[in-house]
Amino acid sequence: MKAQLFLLLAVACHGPPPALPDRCVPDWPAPSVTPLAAPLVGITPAVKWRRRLTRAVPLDPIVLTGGRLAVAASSRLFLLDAETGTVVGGRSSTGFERITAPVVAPDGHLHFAGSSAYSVDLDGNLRHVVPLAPSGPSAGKRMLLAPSGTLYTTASDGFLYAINSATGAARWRVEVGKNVAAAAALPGGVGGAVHVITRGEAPSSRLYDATTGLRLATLATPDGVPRYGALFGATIGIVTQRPDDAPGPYPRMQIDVLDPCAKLRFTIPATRAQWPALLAPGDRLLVVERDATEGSPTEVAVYSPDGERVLAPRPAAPPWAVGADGTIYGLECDSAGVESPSSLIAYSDMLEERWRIELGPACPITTPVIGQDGTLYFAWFVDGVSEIVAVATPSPGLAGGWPARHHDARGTGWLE
Amino acid sequence: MLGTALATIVATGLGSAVPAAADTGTAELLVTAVHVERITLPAGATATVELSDLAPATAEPVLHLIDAATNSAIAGARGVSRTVVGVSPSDRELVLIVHALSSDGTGTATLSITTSATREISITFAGIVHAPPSLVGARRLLVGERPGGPADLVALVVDGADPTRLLAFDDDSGTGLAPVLALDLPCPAGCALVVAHKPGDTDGPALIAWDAGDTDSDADGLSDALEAELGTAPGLADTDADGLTDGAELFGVDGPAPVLLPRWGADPNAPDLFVELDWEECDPVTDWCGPHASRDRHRSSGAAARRLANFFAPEITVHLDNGVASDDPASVVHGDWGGAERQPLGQHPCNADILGARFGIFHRGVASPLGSGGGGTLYGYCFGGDGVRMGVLAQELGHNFGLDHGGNAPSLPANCKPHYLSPMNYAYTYDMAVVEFSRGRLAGSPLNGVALDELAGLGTTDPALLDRLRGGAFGLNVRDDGAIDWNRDGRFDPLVRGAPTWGYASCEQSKAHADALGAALDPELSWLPGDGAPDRLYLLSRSAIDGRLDARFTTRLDRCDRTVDTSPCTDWSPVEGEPARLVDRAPPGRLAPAAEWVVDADGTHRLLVVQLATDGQLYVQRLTATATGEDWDEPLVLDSDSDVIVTGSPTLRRAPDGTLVLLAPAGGVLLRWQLDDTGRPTAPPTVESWEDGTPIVPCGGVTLARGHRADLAEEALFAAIAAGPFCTVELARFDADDGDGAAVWERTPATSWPAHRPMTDVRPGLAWVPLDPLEPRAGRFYLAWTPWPSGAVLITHTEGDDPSPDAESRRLRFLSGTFFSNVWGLGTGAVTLAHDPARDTNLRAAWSFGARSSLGFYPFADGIIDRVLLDQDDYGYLLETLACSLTASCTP
Repeated sequence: MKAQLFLLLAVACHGPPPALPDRCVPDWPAPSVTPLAAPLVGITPAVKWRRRLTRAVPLDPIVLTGGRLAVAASSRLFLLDAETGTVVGGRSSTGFERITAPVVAPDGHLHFAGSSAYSVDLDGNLRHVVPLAPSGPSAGKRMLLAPSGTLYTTASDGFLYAINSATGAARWRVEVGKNVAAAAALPGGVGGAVHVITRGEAPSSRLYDATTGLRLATLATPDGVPRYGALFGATIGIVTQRPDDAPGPYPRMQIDVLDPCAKLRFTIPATRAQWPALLAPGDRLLVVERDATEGSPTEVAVYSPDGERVLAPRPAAPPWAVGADGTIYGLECDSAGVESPSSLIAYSDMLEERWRIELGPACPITTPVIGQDGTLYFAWFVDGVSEIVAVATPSPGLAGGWPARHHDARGTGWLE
Repeated sequence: MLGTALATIVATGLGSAVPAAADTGTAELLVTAVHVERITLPAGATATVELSDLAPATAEPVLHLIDAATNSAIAGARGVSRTVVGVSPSDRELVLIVHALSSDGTGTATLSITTSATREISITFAGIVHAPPSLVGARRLLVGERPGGPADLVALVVDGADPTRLLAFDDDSGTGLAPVLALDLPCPAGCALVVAHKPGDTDGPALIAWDAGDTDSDADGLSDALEAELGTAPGLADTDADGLTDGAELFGVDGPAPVLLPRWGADPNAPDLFVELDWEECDPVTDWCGPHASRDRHRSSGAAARRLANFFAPEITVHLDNGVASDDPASVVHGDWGGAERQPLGQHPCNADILGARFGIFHRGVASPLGSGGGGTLYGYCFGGDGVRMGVLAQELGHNFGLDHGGNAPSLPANCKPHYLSPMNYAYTYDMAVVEFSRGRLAGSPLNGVALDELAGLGTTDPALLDRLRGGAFGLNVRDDGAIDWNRDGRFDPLVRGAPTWGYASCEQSKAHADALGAALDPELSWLPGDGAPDRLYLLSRSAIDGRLDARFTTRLDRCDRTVDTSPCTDWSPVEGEPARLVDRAPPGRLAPAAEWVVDADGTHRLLVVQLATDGQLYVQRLTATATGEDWDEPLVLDSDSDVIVTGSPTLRRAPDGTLVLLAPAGGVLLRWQLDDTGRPTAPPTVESWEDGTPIVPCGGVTLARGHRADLAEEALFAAIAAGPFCTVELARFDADDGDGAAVWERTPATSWPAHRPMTDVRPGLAWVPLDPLEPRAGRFYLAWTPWPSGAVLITHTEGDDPSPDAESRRLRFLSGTFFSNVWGLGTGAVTLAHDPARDTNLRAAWSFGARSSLGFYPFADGIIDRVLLDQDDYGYLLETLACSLTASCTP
């Protein structure tokens, strides 16, 4: 039903354009239903191992491919055996400049960027190094990878770069502005569009044509307040958030869900602190709510792709990932900072607690990935050293939808 | 009746051997609650106040009604009582206080207040009555908050014989909500005082001090007599020299935003350091702010605060307002003290206005995300950085006290001094085992780069220290007996030259001294013998403005052989700061030129310069030294018969056999010419190949250098050649005859390189340097380069020059590259290295920095410097600048 609606919308959006200044997202993905996988049997949830990695701080996300974990920290990409956590290779940027988090191409090769676009194989051997631009800009914190094989990264020069993943050559670049003293943010891509956010004095939230770099749409309220894209779902559309001026410790996000033509579908108004967390299978939107006082208990509400609240807020830890078997993983940290003990809590799709384990002395600093064998990986920082942590779970990978901040275990950040 | 037995004295904690005046004293009391009401009495009305329903029956309440406008007594009563306040001609505010007569007299009661209506309140009352003999004659009573103690205090002085008779009262004339009492007349015999907190606050300690208001010689708010009692110096406003007056440390600084120093743990007799640590907002729109999406993700935790405080302890007690309430309300390490707050994204200005009432009292920092760097004002009060890795914040805060990355001037503040175990040292900033500033424990182990005793090491076998030198930023070869391979040649010798500050961090070992030579790039260094006049080290470069070739030379360099303390240690012609002289008639060109001295027919030395013109031709031009400068010959096309288009920088060296060898990339090949001393080719160029016959595919950067190899009897010609798709640098030896009559370049084995090979698309610098000037055949290669595609200039060297796979020391094996200066030292264009064993003691370098192409000359590129590096005790410097840093008024 919802798929039909979106198909109609998409068709309509390709009608006479002058009426609307914004254009629709091309190649919006067709909604599909991914059946839930059966949970793995015989798995006892527990921390499998912790591996000290480096004094540098890992970037989000860490990615998983071919039995290897790839973790970027400062100027170096570390390659770890996913089974044991042993470092088996790596690659530094040629000028020891800071690099982005990696992204995995379908062929298993890894890509990251510093002042150049780098590609390496799973042993860390260079495949290509291509400068982003003669001016030597510094890439932002992450890359996106479209199904077309085009990589996207923003840089300190205020440009969005589209890069051929096969060669490292820039296809185009377009000026998108910057965050405060940093490259613009890339929350994700969908279909034929890449989403770029800038904050600071001139905040903006825009969709760019992934093929041409032309601006497709500005995501904003009628009075010009940016709606910042956070999650993308084929059925639900673009889940945006916009913080209000509430001074509390937690954001009070007005959640506006937009269709592929950036038109408002529905709103989840904020009556207290809230933010969109993840999309569970079926594009069910998980929203965290809590009072504005520090340390207040968190609750999670579930909304259908139509905006109907299907589960009233109930006490639960903020969703961190959704497993392929539908398990919702909540992460609880004792305080806001990175130096507080944490717990992993598994919930059913109706947020009934299934099990919980204490992770250890710190709060993760990355979002997780889950391998097909159920191992959930993340990084944290303990006693001055970053560690990679592996946790046994019964979930055979990440779910469909937008089950983690970076969408998939490859870190593509792209809904196709 | 009321005696000291009624007072609960927790501890004075104060006092001195100096006898105090009879009217002066101090006490730290456990303060309990009294009941306090404020009543507004309308004009024309009366008020009736009744106390009843006492429990227990032994309870002994004392009631005072006080005129709030004058703090003077209106009425007093004791026990069950009824008090009437007569008609007032105007609106009047009254303060009603009920306290216990003694610590045994606490209890509850019903308080009825009737003005226009009656209001009944159930109250509890306690309070301590304190009547030390020394109170007699006092004219002033000061009350100071204590850590964990109550904040909202009141103080009364009563007649000890009749405690319902109020002599003086105050609520909050002191700092914050604390009282200060001034008596119109000296406290009479038997007078007693009540210090208590209001309902709702918690019981706890408070400091009380009284005096007769006599002389205050140092104007710190405390009379000389009181200071004698407190143990502070009557003649010093700031006894412990921490920048905070004794009065402020004991009783705070009042104002619209009161600074509650005593509550936060100030001690007038021990140095305190107050720090406000704001934090940068985490933006949940663009960043992952943890599972709670907390905007306060970057706020430093209590644990982090304790780590920061530990760096300064015990000499200095740090008190950190980090905006995080401590689990222990009496904590003086950190707390949410009302100043620290979330800061919006962007720049964080810091000045006296921002600190407001805290200016001159607090340092102010901003905690930024885990993994970020930081910055701190030298001799100032502003800093900021990573709010988790406290080594970073300790370093930035250390800058506020004048500490540089290597300490202070007397110890020579070079970065990465291995014996300087301080967070100031980049080599140790991220070492979690370094938890304090340097205490100078290794001050007895001086290090001098020209005379290092490897067997003595640092004079310690402390395994923790030795492990630290083996790993981390240094990666040194260290024996368990403390011997340290300072020159990294794989051996332990009693006397070597080395770079003790060479490390894998922003150690700046190769730029210990720099001459700033204007906006130019693509330099080339070359010696020109002086033929009786002083030899000249020429520095050729291109103007960053118009690309024209220019030149300057050293008129003296010898001071750079001794020390970097002479600045500048080099004299130039033109002098530093003046533009270099343009090369006469040079064609428009690009990239770095090549230069080598030649001998004219008359025996005169001249400099042969080859440069790439914009038309792709190489031009040769000879320089003749004159008394004040140089004359240039007419430039000549190198090979006018050839249609070769050169695409990269040329490089020129005299081979050991005396021939002049010129290499230059041309398209996808590397060409070699042999020149005579006039600069004319003696034959057409040849296409160069590797030892296996495959052609060399250059990547823009090739450099020649002469040097030795342990397996060769004679000196040889070597080249650093950037080649292949990734511009990977190879070190190769020129073999004029590979046995089949072909001239080839023999690469060093891949195992002789670290995992990540240097990559550069511009000309790198290469030089062979003896390990010991007295043994000129045993040495090593240095390589420096601007990374491809971009980055900070890097430098490395080989362990030695022995290519044998069986060698265990002095191997022809490159170490990992490190920053020539630091991570911010972004290179532009070529790097040149020069070392002529006949003229140099050190490796010289030149390269250009940053977008403005600021050309620098670095006479100590090998980091070997004749100067004594010392460990130092940081704490002396911290203490010395504790006060002046608060107002940025230190004199460095």
